[in-house]
Amino acid sequence: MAVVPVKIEKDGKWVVSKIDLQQESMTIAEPVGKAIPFKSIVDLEERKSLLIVTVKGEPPTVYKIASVEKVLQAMKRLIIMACSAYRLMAYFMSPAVRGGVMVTNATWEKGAIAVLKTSIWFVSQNKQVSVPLKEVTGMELTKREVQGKQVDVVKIDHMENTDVVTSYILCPISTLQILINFLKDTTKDLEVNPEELDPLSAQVGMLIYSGMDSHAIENMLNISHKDLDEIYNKLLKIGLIDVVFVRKEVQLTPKGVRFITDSVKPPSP
Amino acid sequence: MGKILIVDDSELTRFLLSKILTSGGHEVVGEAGDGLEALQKVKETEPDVVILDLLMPRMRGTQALVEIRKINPRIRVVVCSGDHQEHTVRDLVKKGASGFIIKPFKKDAVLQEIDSVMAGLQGS
Repeated sequence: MAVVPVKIEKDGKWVVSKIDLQQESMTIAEPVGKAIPFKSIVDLEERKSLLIVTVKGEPPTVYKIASVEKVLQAMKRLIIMACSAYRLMAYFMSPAVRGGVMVTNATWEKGAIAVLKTSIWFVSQNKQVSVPLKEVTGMELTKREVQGKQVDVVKIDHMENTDVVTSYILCPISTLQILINFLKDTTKDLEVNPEELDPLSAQVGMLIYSGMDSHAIENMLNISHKDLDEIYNKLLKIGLIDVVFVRKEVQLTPKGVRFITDSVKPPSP
Repeated sequence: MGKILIVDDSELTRFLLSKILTSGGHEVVGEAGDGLEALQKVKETEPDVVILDLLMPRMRGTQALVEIRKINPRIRVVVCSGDHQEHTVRDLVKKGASGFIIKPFKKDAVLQEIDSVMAGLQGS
């Protein structure tokens, strides 16, 4: 079908190679020298300009492949449509909302949804969108208006950098139910029992979401640094937050006080 | 920068919006906890923009939106809601909404939406 230039990680180093892409397999040229049927691929992850392909085996073999966007796009489409995955034909809209702002040119695309080990893929003729399962923040079976009719859709929210991105999937209700059950099962570790969180901690969570820093949160909720630290510990314990960095609270030493007082004194005549 | 009235029955949301808007250089001219209070505050404060929640006691946001536009059609109303279904948005736009902030919101999204609505106001 096509031979495309790539770089592949081999023994911790990136080597220049080529991949012969066929309808049902791909062959990586030397120095890797490996034919991979797409059916043997059990996972596909996407990083910036990089595809991580996992091929079944004991242990599974992982190939990191880098190339230009056009090549990766062709490779992604072939792999996703033929690899070992739960796949269904569907309409999807992704992204529909990003960071609380509706995406103005969002449209329904006809394509397929493929659920792999670590991510869900939305694939159409021109688009491949990956939603890593570990980044999924919520999903629900809901209704949405499509061409004037209320229809059942699955709504998936996931984190992309620091933004929440919403996507919609539209297909027959029986398939949507299978999909939502699968997603709920896969992401059940992300569920939080509301009883675990008191109202103040929930408010702190909301303020963090909105982009407030610790100082602003203390002021807004009128709580002390110590109180906020305790709430942070609670949120950390149930896995709702990560520590990005620890801020130092400091006071001047006598040497520091002397330096500051000296620095504001008028120069001696 | 604009004069903004915040209407939401959650005190924390009002407080948060107020902080975000002030940090973006806007002037928060008032706050209201329901639709009826909003109408009163609109008359008193003459804001450029009203940020309006939908689910509120006494008078719902959709009705308040219509009434605000009757009081002063120049006022821009930005709806702040968790419901962003197409038919809801379309209905609100028909009723005169100029913008939409989706809950839960981020600081940047709020400021971006308000700036965009303010730009439209200055252009009109």
